[in-house]
Amino acid sequence: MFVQDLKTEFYDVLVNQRVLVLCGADVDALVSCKILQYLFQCDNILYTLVPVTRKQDITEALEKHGETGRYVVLLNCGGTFDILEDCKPENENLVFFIADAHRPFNVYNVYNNSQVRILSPTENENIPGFEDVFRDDMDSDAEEEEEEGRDLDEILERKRQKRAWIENRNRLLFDYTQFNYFGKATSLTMFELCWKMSRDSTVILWYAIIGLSDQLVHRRIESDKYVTECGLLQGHMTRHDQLYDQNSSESNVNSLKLSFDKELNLIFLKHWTLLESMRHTQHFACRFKMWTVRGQKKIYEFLAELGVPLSQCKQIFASMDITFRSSIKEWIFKLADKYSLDEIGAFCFSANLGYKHKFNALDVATAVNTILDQGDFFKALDALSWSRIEILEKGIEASKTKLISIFQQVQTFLETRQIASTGRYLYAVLQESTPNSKLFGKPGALEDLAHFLQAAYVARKSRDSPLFPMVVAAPSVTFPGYSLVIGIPPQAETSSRNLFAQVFNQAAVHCSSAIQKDAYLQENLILVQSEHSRQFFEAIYDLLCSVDGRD
Amino acid sequence: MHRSLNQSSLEESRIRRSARTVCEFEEYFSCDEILMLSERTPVVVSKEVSRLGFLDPSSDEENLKKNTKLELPLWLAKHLYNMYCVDIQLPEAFSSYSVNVMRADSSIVDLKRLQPNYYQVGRQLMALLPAEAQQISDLLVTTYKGRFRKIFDCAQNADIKETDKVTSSFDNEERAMFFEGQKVQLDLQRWRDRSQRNKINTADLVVNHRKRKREALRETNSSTA
Amino acid sequence: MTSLADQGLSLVKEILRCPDYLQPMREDALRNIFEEMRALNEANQKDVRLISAADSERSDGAPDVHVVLYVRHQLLLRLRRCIMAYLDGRLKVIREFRWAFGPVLTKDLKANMTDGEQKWFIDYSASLGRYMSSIGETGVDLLQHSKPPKSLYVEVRVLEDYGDFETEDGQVVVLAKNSTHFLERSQCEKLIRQGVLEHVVT
Repeated sequence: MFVQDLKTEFYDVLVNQRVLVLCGADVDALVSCKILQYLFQCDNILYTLVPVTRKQDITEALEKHGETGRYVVLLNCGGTFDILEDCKPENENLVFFIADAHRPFNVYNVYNNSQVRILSPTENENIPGFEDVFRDDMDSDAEEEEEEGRDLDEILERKRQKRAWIENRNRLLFDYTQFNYFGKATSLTMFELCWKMSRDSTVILWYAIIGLSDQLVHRRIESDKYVTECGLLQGHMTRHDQLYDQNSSESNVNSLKLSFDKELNLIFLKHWTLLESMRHTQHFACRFKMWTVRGQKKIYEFLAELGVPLSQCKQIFASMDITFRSSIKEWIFKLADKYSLDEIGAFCFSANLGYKHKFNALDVATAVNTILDQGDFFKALDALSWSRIEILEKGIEASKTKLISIFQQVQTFLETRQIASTGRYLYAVLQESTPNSKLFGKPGALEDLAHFLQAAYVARKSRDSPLFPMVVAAPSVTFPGYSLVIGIPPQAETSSRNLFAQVFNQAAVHCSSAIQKDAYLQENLILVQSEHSRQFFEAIYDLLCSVDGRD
Repeated sequence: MHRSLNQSSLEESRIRRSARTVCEFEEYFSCDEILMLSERTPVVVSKEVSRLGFLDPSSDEENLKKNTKLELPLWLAKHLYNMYCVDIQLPEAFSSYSVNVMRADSSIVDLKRLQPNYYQVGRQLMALLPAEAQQISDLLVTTYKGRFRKIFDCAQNADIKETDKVTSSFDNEERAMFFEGQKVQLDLQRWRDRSQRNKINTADLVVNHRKRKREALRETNSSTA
Repeated sequence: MTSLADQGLSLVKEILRCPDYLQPMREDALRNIFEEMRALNEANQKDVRLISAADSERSDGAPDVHVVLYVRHQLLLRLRRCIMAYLDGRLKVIREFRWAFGPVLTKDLKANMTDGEQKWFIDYSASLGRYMSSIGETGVDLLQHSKPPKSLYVEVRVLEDYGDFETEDGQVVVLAKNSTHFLERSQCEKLIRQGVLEHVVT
């Protein structure tokens, strides 16, 4: 059941109750958790927070903590599968509040009016109607036996109707669940709740911004939608500025100040050197093909035309000459058209705390994601608080190392021509003997690598490779003997629609290879036993052929 | 007569002995003091003492001959001094050579190597060597004056990881002072940092205990592996 | 003989080396010291008998044996002081245990304590309890509120599995590792000090 008014139907219910909060493993969930924690602490709502990375974690958490309270809040988890069926909570009075950016919502969750309440808003999701999916006699064939006395025609007619209904239902459900995609960021929903209760502040707004930026970084939101949401957040930002201007005559140096501008879309620019930042930003590196010698030369030409000496480019940004630092943005924007740098400019928010710390929301989202990927949930949570900046800085350093490894890996793959095209999809397999293969056995790193590989491959051969989805496999770190396989949509696809969840499931059934189901909450990841990966890829090929055939 | 002479001399020595009694101890249970009192002190035997030959490791005699030079722990030296058996000599750390060094610049002297209980031993020696008491007292004051600034500076500003390096030339009392100063500084920093100010901390004892358990576990794991 | 004082000294050095935990009680060293103390005492008794015999016979005796007696006596006192400091140092550590770990000690903490020391711990706990309940009208728990509380509820993170924890209003909270809870400060403080929970401040 969908919740209409967040405050009365969700928050007011929780006051004076004990709540269990289950938080999924991505940055959006993390910031939503922070916002929720802030609200709970204001109202002294006692809660228990448990991080979850897979379905099993949810089940275990419910077992352990299910007796404590009556309400469970799920952040970025639990929306896409039938939570009551799969997690089997013992307590039948538990009420689940699901705030999940993953789509599509499972129909059982949508139409459960007693125990499941969905907080995230829906927008044009084509959820099948109740009548089309549920029906009283859906599972029973017993009815027909009772009515032997009736006319044979009627019975046959009813059976035919039922069969037609079931076929229609299956078709609707198949269409509905074929693609996995993302909806509005959970952090934005939580921010709205805060705002409606007039409890929002600059810090809470910053959290919401990070949640949105995280969606952009992972390509879970289209850029125009992102700009729209940014506009709304910018409105809030100006409102806060005016509010605080009125309240204090002299501004407090140590308070958080936000700004919104079109910035250079170069990753970690302010924490790195210009050259390194360019090399490791995906779109930039692919435009110049910086893994080739020619690409390097082109970059130097570009920098020369920019008017920035090489020695300056190799310096940490903060130590560059002030003249270069302040004007580099406009110089690059001027040259953007000539070098067809379409993605060089991005609108984003920055936060300023005192004189020392200035952070870009996209950078923060990437850094926190790296920390989360390493497995340390609470460290990632701490990295978001302004009193523990050193954790964030360590995260930035770790991210830099990761980006360097990704670049080297992409270079290796391209030089040894290990990215293969099957005619329906691209794939690349990371062998266990590769150095750094351990780094890519984790979902976040693997996803980044996959995107970079795809972009690099497309940059090389531009015919119909943009239309191919990509599958990348790497030896898993947490499950030895298994390969972690990820599937990403084609580059030409601007939305986040991803058909690999269904494809993987069916491929696994077809080739009956050993897989680990539900190892991760992310739908487009699967664990396959390494020896069977070849069969698995072939099964994917067959399925994708049949999909294309249908369309 | 022989006995009366003995008696009067005993009487005399008793009076002199009470005048010579040095303070027995400042704090009975203090382990630092016990350790300090075991410092080796050079003495010269002033009269022959029977049956104490075992104190001199280089001789096999049963009696301790007069004018033997030995080194005794401070507590024993004190008690023998009470009995008028030995005369205490000024150790090297308090000699006139040291006086000159300290007057020149005492902050560079490595007290830990020279005499790790410098000030306390000095105070003890003042009572044992009445002739040089003034000199020793001046020496202690000069030394302290020269070194105080450095200790203070280090305590306030030294990086906590470099503590060992910085205190390597301090004597025990100076080290205790240093740690007090450092503790105050750390408390101030913790108070300034809002996130640490209100934090309830696990007891230090528990933290150290846990650390030790973890290391022991790690060692057993690595030894069995 | 001076080597004996070294044995006492080694006990003292051990106390200085580990100021916040206990090593096993050095029974062997203590036994050795007691042995030598007895030997010293016997030697002294023998010499005293010599003197009194000499006196009663009015011969020259050996008045110089006074010094040896004195020295041996001082050695005995010194050894006694070392042993007393050693035992006292251990009791100081055990006292700190009460304030850090609470009235019940786990096996690994009790491992190096002798029976006498364990009884001392129990008596000290009881004494502390009596004192705490005698302050004010209903007694004050001195281990609570080591810092002035800033809020009624605190966020705590569980460091090690503790199991069920019953709060004052009867609810049971399961303290499993890797979960965070928002609980009342007064109830958590004890567990935080014991290291089961970690106080999270942002």
